[in-house]
Amino acid sequence: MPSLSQALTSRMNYLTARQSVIAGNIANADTPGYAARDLLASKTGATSSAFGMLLTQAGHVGGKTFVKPAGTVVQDTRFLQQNGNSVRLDQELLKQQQTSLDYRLMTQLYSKNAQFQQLALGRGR
Amino acid sequence: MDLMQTMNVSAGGMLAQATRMKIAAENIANADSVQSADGSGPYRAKQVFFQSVLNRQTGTTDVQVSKIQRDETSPLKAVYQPGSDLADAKGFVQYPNVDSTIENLNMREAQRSYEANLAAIDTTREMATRTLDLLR
Repeated sequence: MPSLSQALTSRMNYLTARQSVIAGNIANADTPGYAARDLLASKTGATSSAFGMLLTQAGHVGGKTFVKPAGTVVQDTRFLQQNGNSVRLDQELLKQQQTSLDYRLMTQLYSKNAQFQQLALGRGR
Repeated sequence: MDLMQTMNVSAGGMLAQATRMKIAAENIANADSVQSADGSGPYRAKQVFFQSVLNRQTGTTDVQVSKIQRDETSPLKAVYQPGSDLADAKGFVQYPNVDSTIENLNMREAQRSYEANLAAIDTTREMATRTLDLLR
């Protein structure tokens, strides 16, 4: 089982990478032919083979999974404009706020965890 | 640090929008320039083209101005001014093909995008500050 700080770190890494993708979207908001991108998050405990077919005998055909692994950059062309651009600024700003809030939560959890450890060492109060 | 690269992406976006703003201002300023310095007739409106480029060093998608081109296809505006030195045989003077409505919209859009990039920098900066606060 991964430790709490490990989990927080990996989540913060994801949020940092996502913020980078969102910033790229906003910078390219007026670039013709640019499709908006997003970074997929990993789900707890789910591996890329979570929804595959079971292999109980040697003769079974290996199943292919259709779950995109975490960290994949996906393009979003739902709001394609005439010039081939699909960035919506309002949506990007919203995503950015979500990322920022999530990040704040992670850092607060991190410092709370550190406080607990200090308490256990008899230093904190 | 990754967040610094993110800020660089947004700064590139601001630079591109600022270039677009500059060109729109040039167009508006030269809306009535019937002569060019090199004597090649009236001023022709300039257009800015953006391009998204993959930054191979950081893996981010940056934006850059791919080219600034003069609009040679839109027709010039002919104004009847028979007293002018530049008038042709029928008394018409050719004015630049600058469309003030389009230029105004261009400036407005550039301003909005610039603000969005600023907001992105703000958020990134906040995330970086939070990280640094962990050290306290």
